[in-house]
Amino acid sequence: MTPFVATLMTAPAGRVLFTGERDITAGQVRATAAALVPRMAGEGPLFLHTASAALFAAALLAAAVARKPLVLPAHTQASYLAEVGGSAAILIDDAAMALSDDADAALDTTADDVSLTFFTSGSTGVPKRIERRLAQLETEAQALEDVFGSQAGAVQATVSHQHIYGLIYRIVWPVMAGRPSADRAAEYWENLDGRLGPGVTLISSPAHLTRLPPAMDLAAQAPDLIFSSGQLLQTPAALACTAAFGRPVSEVLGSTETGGVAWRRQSAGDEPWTPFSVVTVLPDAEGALTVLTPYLDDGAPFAMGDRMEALEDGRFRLLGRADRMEKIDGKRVSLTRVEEALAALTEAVEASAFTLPDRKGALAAVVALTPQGRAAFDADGAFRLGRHLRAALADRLEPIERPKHWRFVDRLPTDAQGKRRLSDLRALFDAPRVPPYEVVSHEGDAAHLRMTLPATLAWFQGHFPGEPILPGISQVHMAVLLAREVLGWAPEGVDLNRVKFKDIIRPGETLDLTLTAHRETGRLAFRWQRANGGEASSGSVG
Amino acid sequence: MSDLEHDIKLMIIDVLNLEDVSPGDIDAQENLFGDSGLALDSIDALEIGVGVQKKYGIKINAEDKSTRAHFQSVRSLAEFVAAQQAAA
Repeated sequence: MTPFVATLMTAPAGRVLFTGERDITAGQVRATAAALVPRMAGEGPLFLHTASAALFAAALLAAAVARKPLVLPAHTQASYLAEVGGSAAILIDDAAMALSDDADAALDTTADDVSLTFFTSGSTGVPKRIERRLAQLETEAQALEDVFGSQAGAVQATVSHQHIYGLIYRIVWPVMAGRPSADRAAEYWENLDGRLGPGVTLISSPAHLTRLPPAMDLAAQAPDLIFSSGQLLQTPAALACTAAFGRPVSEVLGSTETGGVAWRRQSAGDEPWTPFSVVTVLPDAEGALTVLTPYLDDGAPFAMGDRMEALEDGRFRLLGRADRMEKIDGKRVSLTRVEEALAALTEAVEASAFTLPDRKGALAAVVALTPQGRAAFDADGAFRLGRHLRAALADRLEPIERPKHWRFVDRLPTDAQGKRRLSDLRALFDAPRVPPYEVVSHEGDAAHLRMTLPATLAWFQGHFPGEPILPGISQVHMAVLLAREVLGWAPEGVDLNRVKFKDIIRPGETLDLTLTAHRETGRLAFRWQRANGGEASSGSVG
Repeated sequence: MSDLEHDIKLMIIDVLNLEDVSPGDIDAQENLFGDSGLALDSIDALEIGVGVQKKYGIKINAEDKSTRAHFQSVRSLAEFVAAQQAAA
């Protein structure tokens, strides 16, 4: 028996989990597992996904008894399950079982380990299978007990146990240590109001720790220990937590492959990381963090994909990621996978996905539209089209993988070498906005656009108070922004040539803009005109 | 009520950084969450929850089954805020 299973096999009346209303005993978990064992006998892989930690623990125990490996999908959307090989699987979920009220049941637990398969986003965009064993998770739980056990208490959480962090910290560790754990993760801070305080350990992540509830007095109910993992807690957010709770968050750095690697507490600034005692960290030839841990089967060094700086005292600093994976609200998201899902939509030719540091690292996409996509854009506008695409992605992507912020273009912007530059793509979001526009015609490097300028346009603000007119330089700037969106190209230089401002432009006016990209000279020619043909301004920039 | 709905739309646009959206783009009765309407997710819900508390000083009881119903649309949220303010 593994220590986890052994603990669940002791005193039947021992409390292992609890809900808001009642305690759940080891005996109940056993009785639930006993009912589940016969159902694990069938052919096909066993997929386990529950919201209830008690049902999860029971299924884990049942798998140990049935000597069956478990597969832990991140969610249960049909096409995702098909993608990760779950079509022919036996799916064990909350609906498939109920927590037993029996006080105990006999179980034949002679198995000494359970194989667990997790999924994370691989660097190629396909969900990556990662095999771990329960015994490895137990070794890690023991290491946590050695470091944090003296401060640890009853467990509350805001993270799922379908991922390795939640599974170890919410289920394996507390069960082994004999500390009770909440059956459900709280979705919102308010679910935890009145349930924190001394004697509590909170298992959380930056998704919640960067969005603290203003109405809750967290200092008055600060847990003894607050864990964060899954993604770095940026220093300002960590300091805000320290201020709100009156104590620092214990951040754990790790991955599904390696388990926990190092930890830190930021109470004054960007603290270096301390490796767990059983872990060795080394920079590889390129300075990337490489980990040697007993939690890995093959004993080979594992590359984490972050660059690192080793310090003399054995601690280290992280210097940022080296690949195209991004952490978004704690989840590892493959930008490649998002881009492939976007490109498969009928509205999109191709797309680029990336994060926006200015907006809490939210996921953004620039989409090059098909004629069908352009028609939808013209009919419904950018906002509705973005909402529609988010919904259309629901079948393939988790909510966290679906872009929040959208820009729609005819061509993705590229630099002179034909490469996409992140700075150009992000500039589509940073740039002061242009009004909604209609593409009257677009052929090659020339386009004719029509738009009505709303009074809310940024350029009218303060220019001049009570007498708003569109500044001349804004007319040039908007031409450049629109060239980037529509032609997929914008001039690099800022020299103005033969620019004439002939007439003032006021809010509410409808104007035509003609753009011609002269890529060979690096210049953009533009002309702003009224519907009656009267020219407001023209010239070139580049 | 319509002023309150307008304010709530502005707050949602603000907290979610929907900078290219105007209140008129949002229908007060459409679903905020799920796979239709605005198709917002649970992280957005966190942001909106924080926004409602900051702007209106209302405490939200997440255990209350009706909380999910209050957050269904701009209109239901406005009715909830109005009721809470009247009760305060």
